[in-house]
Amino acid sequence: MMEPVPRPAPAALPRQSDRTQRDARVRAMVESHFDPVWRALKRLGVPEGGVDDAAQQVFLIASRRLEEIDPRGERPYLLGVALRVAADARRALARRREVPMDDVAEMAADPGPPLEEILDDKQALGLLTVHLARLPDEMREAFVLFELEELPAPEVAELLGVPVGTVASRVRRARDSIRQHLNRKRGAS
Amino acid sequence: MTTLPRWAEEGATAEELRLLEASRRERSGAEARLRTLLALGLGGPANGSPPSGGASSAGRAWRLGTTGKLAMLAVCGGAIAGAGWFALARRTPAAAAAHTAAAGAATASAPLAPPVGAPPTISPVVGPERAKPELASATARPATKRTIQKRTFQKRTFHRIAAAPPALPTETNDLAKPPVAESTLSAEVAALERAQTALGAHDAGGALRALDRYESAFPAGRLASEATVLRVQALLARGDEESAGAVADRFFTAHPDSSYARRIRDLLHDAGEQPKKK
Repeated sequence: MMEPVPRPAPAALPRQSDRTQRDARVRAMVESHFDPVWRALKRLGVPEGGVDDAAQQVFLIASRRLEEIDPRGERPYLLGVALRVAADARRALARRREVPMDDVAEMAADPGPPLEEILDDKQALGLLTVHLARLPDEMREAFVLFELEELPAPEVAELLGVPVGTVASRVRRARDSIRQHLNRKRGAS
Repeated sequence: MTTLPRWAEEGATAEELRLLEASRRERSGAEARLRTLLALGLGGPANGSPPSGGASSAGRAWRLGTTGKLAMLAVCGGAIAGAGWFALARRTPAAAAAHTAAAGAATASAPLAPPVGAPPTISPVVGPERAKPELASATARPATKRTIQKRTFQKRTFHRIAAAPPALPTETNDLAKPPVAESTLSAEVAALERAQTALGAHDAGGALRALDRYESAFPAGRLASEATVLRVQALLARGDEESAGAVADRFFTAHPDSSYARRIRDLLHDAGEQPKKK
């Protein structure tokens, strides 16, 4: 039986109250923002099987930089990290020539039910995934942050590092593109 | 200044709105959130009173290259609607032990099913990887700071040049997995909480024994990757860097792209920088 490891010198550790406060904040952050982050990662093109892992990565990064995060601005901060994590995931995917684009192509090739019969969220989400996958990254990011996660346009602009007018332009082009795809689907069904 | 109304205010059709609303309604699975809290070292009870051993040393253990800590304080109850595991996370260690003993029957009241709309897939980082107890206790050759750093470097190099990384789990693979009973996952969490608590009490041996019990009880555990991270931490806390490295090597081979692999590399790296315990 092994002896317990000696306790480190107290001076080497942060104060208990600091730690508990920090832990409380991290936990609250996960509980408040996990779903938006997880959802955004999915919409931003992280493969289905990697979304949980990517969400975990976002919160690990955020917890390392907790002191930098304005408590009133946690959500945009986390979504900003999610943007970068998703971009990395897309790049890794492209390097490996993995399957999700095949999945998307397969989904796109499958006409599915007529638009009028799309009753449940699962079908709607499948359709949205196909449409988002066809958008260029910059349009997709603006659309996801503004329309799906409902960040204000100035915050989206700050996260993307572009003027608000550019965000508006990208969002409108994304809408047009999605509308065209829906119309084509309607015509095909 | 450019203003941009939401699509709903600017002529979106019913079909378009349906897509947006479906997206906004989608929720993650409870398991994904649980994994994240565990990874952050926040998988322990959040009941306001640390168990014996306290949060500080557990936090220290998790902080070896990660940001995690074992939280043991009251925070933010009930934010996860319908996620029964959170109730589990509030149990005291004693209750956790009792719960595990009765696993399979007593936890039906803790619903763990993800909410409607959550994807059926499971994180790819959790695989059949297993850190054998006998491997964990192996002491084939003396470890040094140099060997640990060298191993870490070799693994990083390996990741860069790997030509054929394992395929990501596919939907087919995930769907092929049998569904996990609520009680099983709850019992897994309880078992890992015991290991975390032991680490928090600077009882590396106790943590390793708890992990041995976990692996015996759950040979195909869903939290096996989390258990491996804890095992590496426990071995490093015991000063057994060689065994920690051996466990890490097995994990790197099985899961080279896992975020847990990154965390384990951090642990090994930080251990290499720590002064050796006498």
